[in-house]
Amino acid sequence: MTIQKKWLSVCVSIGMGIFSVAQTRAEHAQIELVVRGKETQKVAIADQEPPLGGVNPRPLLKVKANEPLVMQFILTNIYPHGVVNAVKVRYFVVKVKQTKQKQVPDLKTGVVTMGTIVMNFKPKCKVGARLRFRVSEPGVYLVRSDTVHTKSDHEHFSSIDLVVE
Amino acid sequence: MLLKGFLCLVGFWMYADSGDGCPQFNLTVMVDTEGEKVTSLQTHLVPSDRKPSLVVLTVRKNQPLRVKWVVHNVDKLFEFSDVYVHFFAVEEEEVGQEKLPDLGRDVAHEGVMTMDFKPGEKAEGTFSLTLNKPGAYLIRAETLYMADSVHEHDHFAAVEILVE
Repeated sequence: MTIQKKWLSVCVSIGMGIFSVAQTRAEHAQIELVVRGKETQKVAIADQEPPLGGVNPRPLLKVKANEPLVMQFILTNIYPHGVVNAVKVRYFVVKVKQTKQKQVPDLKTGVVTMGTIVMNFKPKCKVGARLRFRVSEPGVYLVRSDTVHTKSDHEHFSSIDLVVE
Repeated sequence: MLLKGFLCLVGFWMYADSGDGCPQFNLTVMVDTEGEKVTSLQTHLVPSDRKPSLVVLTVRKNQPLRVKWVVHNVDKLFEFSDVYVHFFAVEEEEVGQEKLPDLGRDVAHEGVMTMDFKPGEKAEGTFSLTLNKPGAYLIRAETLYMADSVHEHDHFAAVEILVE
């Protein structure tokens, strides 16, 4: 093999490596999450983990106990490289210890409402839900929509802290 | 040539008109609460002359419910592209009413997703539901816009809840 061919081979390998890493780290979902109270609302845009808790500041909404609330999310799959099978999309409201808490609770206790959807993700597919709920007990709650099992090295989510007074 | 034409005809017949008794999509709605569980009886087609069968679950106010819905392409040959799956829980005027309730601001829970369904593929979901007002409620999963295509009909399954 000539020096030029060896050099070309090394360049191709490096290029493929970079492409592969870029592909794994590529964005694959946008999630717009809205929580609406009687007089005010907050919107969160997509974030991703790792790092735990994401990088974007989490919006905070203050409401009264038993106030009628609406949670709504729309997830758009923007990953263009084929179908990802059996992706789980979760959406939930759960009690947490404090605002800006990075760790998501285990969702076995303190869950106010929760939904899941398991589906195949085709490029540009969408999924969303809208639900009414109330929180009767004052405290701090996490409202979150996220993906699980996307077979990637990261998952996407959007979240809002809800302080019930 | 004759064989090809025959196969096309059979294919079109299977794709376009499967009849009420043999839908190509199976939809199921299940509601689980405090040890009691009900499941929708069958997948109904829209449009259809048949009156849908009713499954009614009676619960108390604020009794926690867990809803599960499943959409399954049971056809062995056909893939259905860009299928809209819609699911919701909404108050209605009375159990068994024919007209679909308005899905406006008061809908308790509503969701939609789009997916390609290859033969045998399914999508499913769950959600928790607490109904704090006595009355009748409809929980339904359905396909949308397939009736506008060569498929000529949509599908749904439902369970009704009576909150005392």
